[in-house]
Amino acid sequence: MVPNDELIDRLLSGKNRMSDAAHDDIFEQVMAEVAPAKKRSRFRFPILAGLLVASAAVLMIPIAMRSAESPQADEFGARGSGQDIATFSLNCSSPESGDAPLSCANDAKLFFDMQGTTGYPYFAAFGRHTDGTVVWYFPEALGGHSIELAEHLEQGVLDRSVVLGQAHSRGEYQVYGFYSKVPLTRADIKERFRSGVYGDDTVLINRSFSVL
Amino acid sequence: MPVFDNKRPLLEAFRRGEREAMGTVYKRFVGDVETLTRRGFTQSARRIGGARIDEQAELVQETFVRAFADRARSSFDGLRPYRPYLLRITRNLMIDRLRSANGTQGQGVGNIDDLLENGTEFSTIPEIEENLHWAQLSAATKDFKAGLDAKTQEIVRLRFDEEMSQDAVSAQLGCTRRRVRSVEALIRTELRVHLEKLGLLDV
Repeated sequence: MVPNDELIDRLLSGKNRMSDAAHDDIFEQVMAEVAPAKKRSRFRFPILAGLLVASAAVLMIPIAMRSAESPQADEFGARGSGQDIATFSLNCSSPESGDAPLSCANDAKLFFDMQGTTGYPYFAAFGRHTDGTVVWYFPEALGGHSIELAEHLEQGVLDRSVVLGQAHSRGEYQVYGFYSKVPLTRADIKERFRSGVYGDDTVLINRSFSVL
Repeated sequence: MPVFDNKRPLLEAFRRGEREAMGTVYKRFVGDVETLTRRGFTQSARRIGGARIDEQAELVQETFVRAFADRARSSFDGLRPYRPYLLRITRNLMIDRLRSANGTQGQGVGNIDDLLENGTEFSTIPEIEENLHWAQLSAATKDFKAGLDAKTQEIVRLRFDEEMSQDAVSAQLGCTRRRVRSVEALIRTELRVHLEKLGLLDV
């Protein structure tokens, strides 16, 4: 954790001291240094560990593929070539009715949790109301490009939230998230969306939420 | 009560290097070691200032690495009190770093040699806010938190103040763990941006 991260956590706790979790982390570091011989793999049998990991991966793939076909699934996104995984979930700062389906107050902030995404450096998104109205989220500007995720993720969450505000009327929105290997403009995204042709370098994930 | 008093099994397990025993000793003293690194001390009229946040963790870790090293641990006879022994390691590490008095004002925990001789608990020494920068940051953070909606404030309180796990918070509030994690990450980012805009945090 970089110094400012620890400082932020202390400020949020209201206490200028390390958290219990920080103490625990230090203890593990101490143990790793003073008693490395005592450090055991979580599994006594590495071969068994490998088999367990492999079998988990085998289970992951079919689930991920089903999710690509049924994008309402929350936990998994699409799997591209190799080990690339694209996924996100939506949250708002003041959900009005639990977490599923997501309903947000019209003055709430909408934010994107991209935890688990790998292999796609860029992300763009827009929301579309059931009446067809489109609201662009990223890129924010007309001439802009997809966001470069490496610069904008905080523990897997995008550091830019969307204030719903006046741009969003009441009702349901489908949010279309475009993961790509290259930065895309709004025009690029529109073309791919309309044609339905994404190629190997772009994946579309959609989620939904409602504005109350 | 000293940690090893009337606890021969604990002492033996500690000397053997058993993890649970080292954990017991660690938890008993880590707060004091941290306090010393954070507040600093005086010695022979020389002021050794408190360490920066990133250095505090290093000093705590190095203290216990030295104290828990094989030779140090296995040769500890259990007759001497452990706390002064441990804090002297911390003291020496801090002196080695030659902290100046510029970072903090005041006396820290006070004269370290007297404190170790007397066995004074640091918790009994009033902690006057010596760090003006921390005071400013705290005030700005309080304003920031006051502007959050009630549910987010509750997540912040349970995660950061009560130090509950994400699972426990999600169970208490009836939301998913993913949501708790998302809110947590967003709040950290927004507070950082808030403090940077106020010029209280280096970009």
